[in-house]
Amino acid sequence: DIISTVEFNHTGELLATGDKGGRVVIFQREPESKNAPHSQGEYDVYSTFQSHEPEFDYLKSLEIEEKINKIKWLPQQNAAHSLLSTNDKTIKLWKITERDKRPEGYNLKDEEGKLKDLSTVTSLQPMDLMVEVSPRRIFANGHTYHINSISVNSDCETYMSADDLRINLWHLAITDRSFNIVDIKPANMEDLTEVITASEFHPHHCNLFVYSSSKGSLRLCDMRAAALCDKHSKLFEEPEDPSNRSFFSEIISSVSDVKFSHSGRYMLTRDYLTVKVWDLNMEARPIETYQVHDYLRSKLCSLYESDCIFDKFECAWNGSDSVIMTGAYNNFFRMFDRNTKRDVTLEASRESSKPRAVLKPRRVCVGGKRRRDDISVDSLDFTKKILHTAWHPAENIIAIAATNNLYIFQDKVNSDMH
Amino acid sequence: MRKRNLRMSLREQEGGHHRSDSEQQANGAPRRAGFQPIVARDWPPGRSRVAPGQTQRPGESEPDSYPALVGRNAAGLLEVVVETLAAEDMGGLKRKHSDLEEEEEDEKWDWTPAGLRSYQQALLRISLEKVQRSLGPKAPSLRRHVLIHNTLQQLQAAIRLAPAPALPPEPLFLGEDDFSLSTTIGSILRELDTSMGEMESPPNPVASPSPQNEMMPPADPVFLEALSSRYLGDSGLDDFFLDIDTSAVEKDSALPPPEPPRSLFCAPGSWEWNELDHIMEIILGS
Repeated sequence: DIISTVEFNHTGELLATGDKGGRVVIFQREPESKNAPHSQGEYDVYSTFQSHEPEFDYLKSLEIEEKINKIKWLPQQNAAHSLLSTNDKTIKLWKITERDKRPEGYNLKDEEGKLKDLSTVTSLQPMDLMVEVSPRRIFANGHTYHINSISVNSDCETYMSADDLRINLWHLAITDRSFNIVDIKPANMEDLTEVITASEFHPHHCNLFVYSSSKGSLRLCDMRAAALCDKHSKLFEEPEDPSNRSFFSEIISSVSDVKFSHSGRYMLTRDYLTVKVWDLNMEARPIETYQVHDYLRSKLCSLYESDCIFDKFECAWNGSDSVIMTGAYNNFFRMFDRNTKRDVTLEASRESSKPRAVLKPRRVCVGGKRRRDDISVDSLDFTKKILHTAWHPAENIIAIAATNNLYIFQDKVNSDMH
Repeated sequence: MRKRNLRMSLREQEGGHHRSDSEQQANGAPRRAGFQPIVARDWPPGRSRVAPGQTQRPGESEPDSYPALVGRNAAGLLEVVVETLAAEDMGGLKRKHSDLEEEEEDEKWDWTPAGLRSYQQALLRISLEKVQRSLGPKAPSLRRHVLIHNTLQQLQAAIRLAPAPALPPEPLFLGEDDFSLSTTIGSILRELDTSMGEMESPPNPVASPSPQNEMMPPADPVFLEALSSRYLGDSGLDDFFLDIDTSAVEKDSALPPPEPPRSLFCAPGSWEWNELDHIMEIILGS
């Protein structure tokens, strides 16, 4: 089955993945221990459960896919872990608990037949660890269109869900109503030219959120300004480069993912060919633009024909906001160091993931001098796309979803962020 | 500008060709730094499927492919053995060598008016095929539809501006009066909207095609009906609903109640689907 989302929790101890079959698999990092030094830093399967099932809407004769579009962890507030998972229509809150003790002892009399002291009849005995998962809330019927994002607010009480045309605000404890905060549906659907592609709450300011559009713009909204945030507080848009104009300019400008930096000062966006860093204080243009695979610019027509131009790649910050990462084709993924301006292309594949081997940088050659291990643009495999990637919040550990394979890479030498 | 960026990144790669990037940052440390695999899993990782509410021991459902650790190497780095399992065959979808792809290369492309027109026509054909193909049992992607629609509008505008070629093009593109693309696609968007469940009270005059009209000319309403019939079943029944006041059912709140059934009367995709094939054949002049 195809992995459709990857997300570390806030400590990086847990890694949740969702797939096209509606399943969620949670991995847990093994703690370092002297008894088993070899398992240092390994991620083992912690829990697997079926989050969503396929549904059929009989009224509209449409299938509702069970594919998990997004998973977001709630900040941990007690011994249990909680996460939100969503498909196209329904969001669910799951609670994950551990059980390592069980009550034992029910006999009121001991072996000799004497009545026991009642307080000693039952006691908690240790048992093998059991992980229990249960659905705590089901947030249904909030969206007519397909949900593309969910984001938990820093107030830890509310979260938002965004579909193509609307964004709703929910309270985590209330499932029978939600508050619509953005609605870009035109009165006449024939006039529809723009949809919402992604949205996220600011990591620190509980009143701010951003949403991106298919036309390449970002809108920062302040919920204190109005109940319905149709009017943005800030509009981030880069003027089009007239020399690069083509019939596909709009499609490749469509933002597929937006992520606030951990500091809250910047935003990272991914469109078809680039990743861009935006400063919240500057709306006119991004402060940094990185080319992911500019060699595809001359192939846009065939990528349009094959539908690859509609692929939605995600992007990620590292914990210190100094490196950004995004996926590409041929199971390649790219990292850009914002400080040194160096970038690297790496590959997630069985062949390149040999033991003892550090990932070797890959190169796509566009003609001209071709070195031994280079890949030419024409031999790129466009079915091998890395759409979903995640970076550990504190360490140099990354999770890469390559279609139906999950890779976790770690930089053991430089395990701390800098 | 583009070329310069590419050269820059190539130079970066050259510099780090023999060593990884992070090792350079470590100022010549003897260890080989960089990202190493610690886990690689095929999907799904567990054999058993755990229903919600049930318990599962962590690690219990791991298959035998769990990486076995070999031991530390001299540098103190952990080694991981990754058991390779064959990845799912994706069907070997390689890039199609369509005519368009060859024509795309800058050196070979002939940007004469005729060449440009043929390029635009090819894009139009591809876009229409996409619209037709997107009708299926699964709800369509609105983002994809909107992007294709906007591209079609640009193409339409470009074709209008371009001078008419000497040779008559395919019948499909003969004059915009016969075949109003933007109206068609716009109508499809509207039909999409109604199929998604929103009840719009004001019916657009263009929205009411003559449902009983199966004749070819004008191509517009029939094409519209054929394409949209997949959603509404028999779109002819739309007329029955136009008179009904749907304002009571209109909902702006975030929790819309289920809308009244519209497609309960017809079996979707019966004669309409065959009709669509027939119409598309005629339009595309195959």
